[in-house]
Amino acid sequence: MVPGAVPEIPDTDRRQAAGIACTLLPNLTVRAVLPRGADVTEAHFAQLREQLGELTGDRRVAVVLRLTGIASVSRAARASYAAISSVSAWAMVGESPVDRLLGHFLLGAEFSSAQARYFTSDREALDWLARPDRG
Amino acid sequence: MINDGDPRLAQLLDGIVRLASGELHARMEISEARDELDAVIMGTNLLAEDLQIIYEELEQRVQSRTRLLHEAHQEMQRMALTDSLTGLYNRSALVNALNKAQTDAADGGPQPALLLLDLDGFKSINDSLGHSMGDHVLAIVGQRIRACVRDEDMVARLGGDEFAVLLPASTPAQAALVGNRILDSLNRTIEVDGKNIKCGASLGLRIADRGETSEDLLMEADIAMYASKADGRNKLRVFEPAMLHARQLRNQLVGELREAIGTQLVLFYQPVIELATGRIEGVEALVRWQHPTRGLVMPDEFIPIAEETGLISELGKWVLTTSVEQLRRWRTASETSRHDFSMRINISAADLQRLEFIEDVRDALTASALDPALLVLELTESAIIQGNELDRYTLASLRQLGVGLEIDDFGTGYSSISYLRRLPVDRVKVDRTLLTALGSDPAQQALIAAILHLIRACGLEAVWEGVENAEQAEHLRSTGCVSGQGYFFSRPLPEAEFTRRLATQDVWPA
Repeated sequence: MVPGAVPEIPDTDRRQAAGIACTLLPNLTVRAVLPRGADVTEAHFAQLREQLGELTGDRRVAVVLRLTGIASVSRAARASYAAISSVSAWAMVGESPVDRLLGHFLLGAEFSSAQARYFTSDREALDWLARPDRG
Repeated sequence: MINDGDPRLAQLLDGIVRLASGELHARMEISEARDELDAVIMGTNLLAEDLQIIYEELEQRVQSRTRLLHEAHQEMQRMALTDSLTGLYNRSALVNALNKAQTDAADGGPQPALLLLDLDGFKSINDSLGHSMGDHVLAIVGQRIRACVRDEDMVARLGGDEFAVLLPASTPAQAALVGNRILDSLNRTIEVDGKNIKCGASLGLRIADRGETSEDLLMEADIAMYASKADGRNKLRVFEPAMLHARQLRNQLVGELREAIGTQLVLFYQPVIELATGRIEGVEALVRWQHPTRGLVMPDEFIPIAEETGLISELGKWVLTTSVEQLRRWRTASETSRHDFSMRINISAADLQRLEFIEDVRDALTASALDPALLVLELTESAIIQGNELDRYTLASLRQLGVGLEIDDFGTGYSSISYLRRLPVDRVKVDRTLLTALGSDPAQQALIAAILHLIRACGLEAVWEGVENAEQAEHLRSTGCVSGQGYFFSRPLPEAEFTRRLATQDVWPA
């Protein structure tokens, strides 16, 4: 188990590499979990981009990004995250005030088209991603 | 919940204080709790990082702008001290270097030497081949001078065709060696666009005295250069104090001459005689300066100065109007009106360069109601032959006006048959030197006859200058020459004396 994974969501496919774990959910949604205590760098998001490609090909997906317990996010990591173009919507999920701060730090990146929002539970995140009028 | 005793509050405050004091790299650790206070600490870290990045970017930008500014400043400084045409230093840079060289030499080292040079005949290159060609020549001259000096010497273009070389620490012998090397180099033909141009230079050399200002050094090198020019060009002259005195006298003379035009200048008149009859057919107006303290000054003392300073135009205009008015008086006064003769005046190359000169001639003739044919303008061969388009235009306009044109001092300069046929003149005045050997050299008679034939073959007539005795006059007459001028007939006379002669005698000599 990857720390912070949400057990109520069944895994249909799971990939893990260099500390980041990705799970393909129904409806072209991917759940990605950043490792607890990690100083998140651009390498994490480079890996995420690769794994998204492997899981969904060139289709655009929605991503639930769990960042609970991460130690920090570098500016290069934020730029790398913002450069992933295959994601149509990001739902950041964290628990503590520090998660919230770092989640919003990521949200502060310049986006081109993807929607993004911070949540404190997977359920809220998935609900939002499932809404046709999310915004 | 955060309580007042939480040590992280003190840690946060310390961190913020460090940031406030300029330690933008300071960061604070968060605790395992990851609560609101940790979020504030983390947020502060992120803001500090932002601040640090912005500050570093600003710093880099300031550095980059400062570097650009510095480069621009250096480029401006280089431009301010460089002559754009030749890439050499300019006057301003030279003066700075002169001052520095003098300072360096103040503690007993060798004194700097300054060479100043001016191209001989550069104006005619510009006039005849165009300014673009002139610029090419200047650039090549700059390269040649540069090739003649050491690395530590400075070559500058002061403006126009004037260059300077500063040898920061030099003996007179070394400086003279460099000067002569430059002269030799500039004496070689310059090839531009397939044209071979010869362009020598006159050089003045001044070895600085201790403590002498750059201004004085430049002036004295300039004086030496002008002495070189006066000496026959393509020479190197070293400054001597006597030159300074001569320059001062000359400057004084220029000032006095400016005042003298119209007040102290007088015209003397010398007749041109019809050899067959002894009757007067023309009179040449010759300018003299009745100086209040120096007495009568001859033209060879002040005409060159007038030419150099541009006063020649004003002077020439005065001669023109005064002489034409005088002719009118002689032709209308009852005691002199029985004579029928023309007025001859000498004009300079500078006159041909002024379009107003044609107007001046027309105005003078109109004012005195004289037939233009009664005015004959005498000009030297060199003025005609070296002339440019403007000269030719002026000459053609004068001919259209109806005035006579005559080559003065024929036989002393460039005379060639092909030129003689093409020149827009009516007659030539044969130089006195051709008559001097008459009598002593049997071949001279045949030469005179040959010259006469040549002139006539070109459709021109001749006035023979320098007739000093009856034998010469008789020989010229018997050879078929028509007109003569010289002391045998009369010296140049003041107006009153000439008027008296006209009133009393019909043939010359009396």
